[in-house]
Amino acid sequence: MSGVGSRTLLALALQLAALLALSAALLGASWLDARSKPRVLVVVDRSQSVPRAAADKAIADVMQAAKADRGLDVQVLEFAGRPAPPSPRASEPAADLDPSVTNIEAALEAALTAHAKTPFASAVVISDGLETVGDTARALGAVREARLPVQWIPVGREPPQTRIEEVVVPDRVRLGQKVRLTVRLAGQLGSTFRVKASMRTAGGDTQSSSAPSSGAGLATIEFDARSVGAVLVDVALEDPVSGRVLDAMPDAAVIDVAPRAGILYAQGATGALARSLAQGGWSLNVVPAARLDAHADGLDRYQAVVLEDVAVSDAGPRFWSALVDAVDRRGLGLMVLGGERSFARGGYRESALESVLPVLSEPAALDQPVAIMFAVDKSGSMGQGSGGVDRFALAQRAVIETARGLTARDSLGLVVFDVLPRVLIPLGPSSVGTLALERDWQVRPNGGTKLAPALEAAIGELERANASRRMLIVVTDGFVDGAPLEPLRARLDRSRIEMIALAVGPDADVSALERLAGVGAGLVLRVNEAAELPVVMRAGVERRRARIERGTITVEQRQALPFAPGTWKDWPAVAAHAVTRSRPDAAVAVQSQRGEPLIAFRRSGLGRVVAVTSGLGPWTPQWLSWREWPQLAGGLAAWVSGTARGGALGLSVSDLPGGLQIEVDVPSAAGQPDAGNLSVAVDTPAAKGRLLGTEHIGPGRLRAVLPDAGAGLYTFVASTPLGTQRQLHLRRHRGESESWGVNPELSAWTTAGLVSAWTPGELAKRRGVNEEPTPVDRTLIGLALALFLSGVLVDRTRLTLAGVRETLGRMRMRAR
Amino acid sequence: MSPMWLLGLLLVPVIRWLHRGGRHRRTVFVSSLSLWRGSAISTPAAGERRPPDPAWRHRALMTALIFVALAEPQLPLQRSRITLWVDDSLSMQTRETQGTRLVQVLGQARRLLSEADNQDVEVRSLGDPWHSLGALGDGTVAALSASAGLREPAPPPGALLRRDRSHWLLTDGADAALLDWPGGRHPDRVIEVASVTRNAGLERISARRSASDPERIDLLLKITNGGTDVETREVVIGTDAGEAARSTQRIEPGTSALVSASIGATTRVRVRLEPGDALVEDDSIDLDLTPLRRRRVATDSKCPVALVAAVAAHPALAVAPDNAADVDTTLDCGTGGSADGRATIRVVADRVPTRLAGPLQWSSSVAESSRIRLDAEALQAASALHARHADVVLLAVGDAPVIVRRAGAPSLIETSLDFGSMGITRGPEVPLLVNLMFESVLGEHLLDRIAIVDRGPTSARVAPVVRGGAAAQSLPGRLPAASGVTPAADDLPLLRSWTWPTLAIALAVLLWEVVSLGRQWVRLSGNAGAALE
Repeated sequence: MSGVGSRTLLALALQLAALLALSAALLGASWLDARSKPRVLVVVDRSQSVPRAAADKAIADVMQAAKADRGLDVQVLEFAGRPAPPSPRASEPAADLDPSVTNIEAALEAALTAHAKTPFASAVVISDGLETVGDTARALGAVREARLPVQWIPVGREPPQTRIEEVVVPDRVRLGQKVRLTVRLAGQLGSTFRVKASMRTAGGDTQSSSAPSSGAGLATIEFDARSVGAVLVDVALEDPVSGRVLDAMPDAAVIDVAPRAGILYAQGATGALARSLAQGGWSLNVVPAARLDAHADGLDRYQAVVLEDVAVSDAGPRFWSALVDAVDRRGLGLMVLGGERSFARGGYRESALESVLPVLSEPAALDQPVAIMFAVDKSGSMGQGSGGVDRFALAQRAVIETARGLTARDSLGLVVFDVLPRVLIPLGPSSVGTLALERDWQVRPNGGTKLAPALEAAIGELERANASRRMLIVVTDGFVDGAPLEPLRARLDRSRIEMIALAVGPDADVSALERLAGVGAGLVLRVNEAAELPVVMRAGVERRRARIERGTITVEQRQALPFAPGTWKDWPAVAAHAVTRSRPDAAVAVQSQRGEPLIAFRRSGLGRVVAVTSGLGPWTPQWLSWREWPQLAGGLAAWVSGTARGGALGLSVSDLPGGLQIEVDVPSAAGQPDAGNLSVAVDTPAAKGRLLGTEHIGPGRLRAVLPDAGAGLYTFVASTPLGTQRQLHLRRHRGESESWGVNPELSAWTTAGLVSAWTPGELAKRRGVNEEPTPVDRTLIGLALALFLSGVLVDRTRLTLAGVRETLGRMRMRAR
Repeated sequence: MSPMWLLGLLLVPVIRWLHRGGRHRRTVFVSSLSLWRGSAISTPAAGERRPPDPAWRHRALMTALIFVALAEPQLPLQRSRITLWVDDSLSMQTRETQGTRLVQVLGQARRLLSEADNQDVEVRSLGDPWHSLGALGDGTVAALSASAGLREPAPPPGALLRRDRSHWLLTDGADAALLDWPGGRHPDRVIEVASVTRNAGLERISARRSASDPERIDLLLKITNGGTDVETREVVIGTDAGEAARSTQRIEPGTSALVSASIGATTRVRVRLEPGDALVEDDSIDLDLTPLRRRRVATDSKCPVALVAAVAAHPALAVAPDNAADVDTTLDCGTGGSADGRATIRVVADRVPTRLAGPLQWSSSVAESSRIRLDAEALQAASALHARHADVVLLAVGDAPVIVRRAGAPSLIETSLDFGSMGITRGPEVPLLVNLMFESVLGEHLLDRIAIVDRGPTSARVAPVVRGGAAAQSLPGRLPAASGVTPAADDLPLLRSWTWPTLAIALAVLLWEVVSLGRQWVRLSGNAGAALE
């Protein structure tokens, strides 16, 4: 054969090879161009219920099958609660997939979206099929409609032989208390297991402890409540020998650690209860009764208020209004302790405070005759005044108005004094005395002030009286002279004379008057403005006549105290108590032998109120040393500090597949709820203080929805002008942590043709059902082109060494 | 498309050059060089350039075709495959002059589709996008009309917006969200029908037992003006016993009014608005109140008074004799067990009540907001309960379970609590415990339950808020009432790859080349044989 013929033969061979390469490309063969390879999507379940090792092995199987089948291009789409974008290989564990949830529907929709962009020959799902969110069957139907064949590799975990059945915990403890968890096991309980639990706070404080299980499969573990706030509990079951974790329940429970009860303690008396509670670890803010006004706006900080022998006059109307409102609407606890300045004597009758108490103060004991001597200072300073009315004139009016309130069985007398006393009206029947008072006293203010002679004169008058009660009412605006007060005080006590001193103006010698009046037996009333003198005197006398039962009063328990079941038999006697009567809706637990309430309870609105008419101090000296005293004092404080769940609002949280639903019920007493007046804020595992919009969804009910809520701790705070309600909610996906095996529905899906069993050889067999053709392999086309051009070159050129030299030589010649 | 591959077309002149002809040359045999001077050549061909080898043409064509194929040419596709996305919201039931909006818009689509032949049309609703309704026929129209308003429509899922199809949206434009398609896509064509712009509708009705009188039902209605004018409607509330209440509401466009009412106990309530309007479907609403009915509890005569009183006082429970048949659950205090497989609460008392020591403990399966606040020290137990396998200890005091949900069916709750001793506290503990146990045994919320029918915030909206797929949104009152067709978008042409046809032609050319070369080789082989002979 000639050279030409052999070149033609070689060219022909090359062109035939090009023909083959081109035909192969057109027939869908792939060589090096990845785009032309059939693509397979592996959808991998990374939720907690699917063991990672088994899933990884399944991925490896698919990869191997793909490699064996023309080197298919495999994309991996991992998912749990949400899907990740497809990638060429499986990634490291990713928390942002929300592994506590299985949402196969979302994963299949993501697969369909990827399929719509670039078609896949088939998809392989690696999962246990146990979805916790979504509708897998519906999604599989959509996949079938998209003509994407699905093979399923079932991967589930084996149920543990022994597992954690349940964790029983308190939902709320106080700081410093012991927290006790009880873990119940199920399954094979033949041997002893170790149950390990840990408590962790948001601040990072973690405590761990463990305990062996009993033969009954119970383990009890204790912790200390060390910090305030929500603590999460994780529980794990271990083999005590190998330490292998047999089962785990992360986020098993949440416990709310509350601060020690905050109590505002207004102290008008000795404060025996305050000392006892403080020693018992209660958190008290003890304030003098006269400073209560400063706390009118701060009651929200407290769980309870204790008023120990506090008079209504100790605080202004604003405080009492705020207190009553907080009790009724917010659930503030209130404990009122009796004393010389409380209940009727404290001006409780028909006051705002009385509206929440379980007892009503009885009216003044007018059936008990009283002898009253008025001693009125007529010194020169009492002539001061304004608007033509001086202190003395006002004192005159006060005496007259007070006298008018006396009954016919009472008696009265009048002494006026400067440096010397003068008995204007000797002690006699009140009707005669009142008429005499209303005449001109024939007295003008002048001179100095000497109190002792006037008091001796008045006391002398009272000592002659036969009345069961004797009262001395002194009105003065000056200094008490230097005369010794003790003998006078002793004489007053001896003669059982109760003294009421009205200290008028800023110069009045209050401390001396208080020493003279004595503790308990007398009363000093400050009168800053002389114009108030008539009102203060009249009210002071009326309150002084309020009934207080004194003596050795036997105590009996009528029914159980709300904090202590049963009855205590040996209640010590009390020395005195304010006489009251119980409201119809109150519970009287302890009473006097005469049936008068000593300890009574009532719920007022949302708050708990207890009244102890005997107080817990000077009138109950034997109680303070009684063996039941700690339980009584602590129980009373605990009861009033406890608030009914719901507070001003009812707040409930429900788990929905796609999020959390929060419903707030506003009490009907507050009228129709207004979404504008309600704010619902939530601390989620990812963000704090997120505000949720609410909608008026039903009668008295508002609803908020928190979509896309993952697992974890949520703290909701609902606030209205009525108050604030806090609610913890631990969103768990128990189905994830407590499910084993494979969804039995999988066989139904297979029967329905939604999925097919895993068959490696058929990984890309159904290729071609897609409407869009696979790209032709560029590398094969390029090969065909190269072969073709080579054939052309072979055919058209005589590539010999001599020829090349000759050509190069000619080119050089031309260049010259 | 990869246009860089087209640079390969520069090889075409090279192929042409390879097949160049050159001048004709002739061999003249002479015996002596001196004779060379006297030799002559025929003038016609002497020095003339021969033509190139004709093979260059198909070789150049082949090369060009392959480079074009490598560039993967794409040409606009004839839009023959169409998906009709039909808005099946309630507002599509609005009566226009020629039937409902749904019927009108489907009719318009049908007319447009009839203008072109050979179209592959599939219909999908926005309420159920994954289910193809097939071609646009009478059956499809009927199916869509029957299901309109039953499901909340949403923009089509991205997975179904295939690029080889045209996507048309058939809507009334009342819900702007339906135009917010995923991935920045938007409809290729929007067919919109909306001329009616006035409507007031009942969006929601909810009911619960009155807190002050459990024998009455509190209702809350939400009436929405989804049109562009102020509307005044008479709200008529009816029960089985007849009309129960009536009020007049004036509602500004785009706003809602809440109407509260209280009615006597009944099983069903129906509310209607008068006068009716073009959207009849939202002028009335029915609410089934049977979920609020009292569950009858067969109560053991041995039960403590406080417990029976708490059951009687529960707004969702009613005490029935222990031998009653038509009851929902049984409260057993020692006389017998559950009858007929009924759910049962069993109060176990086999010893003298004793006070329990320790704090209250709850099962982690009890939702945090369902846990009630109790004074643990006030609780006494009259028995010792033991939890068995698969039981759930709902409440324990210290180590002692006091309320246990037994595993298996029928549902059984056992409690060892002594309700007799708790009654004296006069607090809410007993009623709350009773509620907890009955909710657990019946598996449903009993206290403060609400019955509700909610059509959604867009159900009454009939005035279009967007026109023709435009991005701009406007207030309902500012939009003209009109219907129309937005022409198909041309910024996203549907393309088809021409790689395969190009390569097929190249294959044919290559076959030609192979055949030519084969013939050339045969010819050359023949010539060589003849020469040898």
